[in-house]
Amino acid sequence: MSELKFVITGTAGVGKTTAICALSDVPPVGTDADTTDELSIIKSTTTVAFDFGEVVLDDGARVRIYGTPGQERFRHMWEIIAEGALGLIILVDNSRPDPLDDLMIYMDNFKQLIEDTGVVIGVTRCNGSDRVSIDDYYSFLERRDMFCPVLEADPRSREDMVVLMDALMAMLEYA
Amino acid sequence: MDSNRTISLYGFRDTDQTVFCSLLSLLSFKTNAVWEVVEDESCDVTVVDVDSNQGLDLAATMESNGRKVIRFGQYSSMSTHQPCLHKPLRAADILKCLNSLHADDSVQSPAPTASAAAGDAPRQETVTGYRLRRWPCANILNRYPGSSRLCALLLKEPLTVEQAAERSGIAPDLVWDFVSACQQQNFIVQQAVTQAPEPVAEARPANAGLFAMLRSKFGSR
Amino acid sequence: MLAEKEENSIKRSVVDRNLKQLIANNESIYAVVLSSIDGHAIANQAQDHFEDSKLAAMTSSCLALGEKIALEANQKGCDFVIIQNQDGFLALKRVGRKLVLTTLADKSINMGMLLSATRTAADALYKEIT
Repeated sequence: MSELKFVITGTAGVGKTTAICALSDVPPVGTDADTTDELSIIKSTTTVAFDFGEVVLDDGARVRIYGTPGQERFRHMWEIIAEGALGLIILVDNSRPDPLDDLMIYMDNFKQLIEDTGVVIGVTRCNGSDRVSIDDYYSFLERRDMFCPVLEADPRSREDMVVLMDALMAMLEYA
Repeated sequence: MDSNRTISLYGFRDTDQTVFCSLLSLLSFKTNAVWEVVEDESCDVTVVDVDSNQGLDLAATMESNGRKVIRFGQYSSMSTHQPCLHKPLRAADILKCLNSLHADDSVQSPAPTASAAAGDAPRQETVTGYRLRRWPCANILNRYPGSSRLCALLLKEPLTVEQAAERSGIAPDLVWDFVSACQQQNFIVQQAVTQAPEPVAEARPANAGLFAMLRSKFGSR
Repeated sequence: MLAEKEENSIKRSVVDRNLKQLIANNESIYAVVLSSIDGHAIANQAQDHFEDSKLAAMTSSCLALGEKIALEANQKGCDFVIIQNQDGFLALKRVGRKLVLTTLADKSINMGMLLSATRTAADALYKEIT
């Protein structure tokens, strides 16, 4: 039986590993390395291969939630991790200079997975004075003929991550 | 409004019966009527395994007595009979078969509308549909159990309340409430939709059971 | 600021010297890459032109996985990750906390020689630049 997995991707430092911790039943497995570049201002380590956590279902089946490295230089891992996934969550850091550009990097690179399955977008670090609103995301996607849920989300909040997963599963089943 | 129907299985092997009952349960959101498997001979429809002479005879006898029969058997023996189900059982076939029986009933039942009474071909009329502009906020989602299903349907394309109710399995009055709540928050827009006859619904994806277990695990609704 | 630039320049020359030495002393080693543990290429030496940026990111992923697999197998102190192929070898070795040394050799090399030469270079780099 093939592995049952969902994938979480998004910019480095957006909270992918934290999101996996929020959902996983077991301590997540991570592949952290010390940061040596400008990212070290916001975090001391970064994922270089993948993180994964597991959700154990009532019948004993295990669903894995993989987090990808965020940086584009790790695109080789994106391809490996995306293979056979059931769906994708993209986390976007709304406090970065151009979050919509960030979003497109992942929409483009995970195009095949998105076409084959589905995607939801979680927007993190939102506040009232954001330059880019949630409506801007929808308009941006609509101009590209893309329709998918965009939700504010705090990766530390299990509740927020469950809402994202629920939206993703609803899209996979009903859209 | 869904109607309740009963169905009985004759001559099934245990494994086929288990598979049939499981698929029927999974398809409950998609069938036009609510189907219940019973052992009562006065059921609405009987599915007969016709890969035995006894089954073949029974199917023929029941039909001659005006009973509704679905033949279930190997592909090669079934080409001339409708409705029929082939081995191995597939969800899409069951759905198609049951909904086609329902369609037959509609034709036989008294015509409720002027257009049907006049015997018109199915008309395509333009009616008000709703399309989500964005995924609603948590307080709306939490108020309506299962609303993520509605959201997914209404984000993809505009639907009437009735269409959304039918496809989501959520009662129409709840769909109305949900749409109103979304309208108040400007999450939903009205769009004209063509109310064409509903296509035969596809079976839910293979992962429907998995997603149900995940939702249960996460405590989401 | 000037002191920092000077220090970086000295480190660069130390790195280049060590990498050149590794290639010069081993005919079968045709390229070496020094990269950061988070996947940035820092320097390379090669017999021919060599593109190191993608390899640097991949070795970072691979080394992290190797170390994680070792821990999962209740082994510790992952020393090398070795990739043995039909026509050659890659040896990946950590240099201190922040760096990775990757050695690429053709199939004529003796595995012991490859590991020994890579370790010697890694140790020298560690002593001189960290």
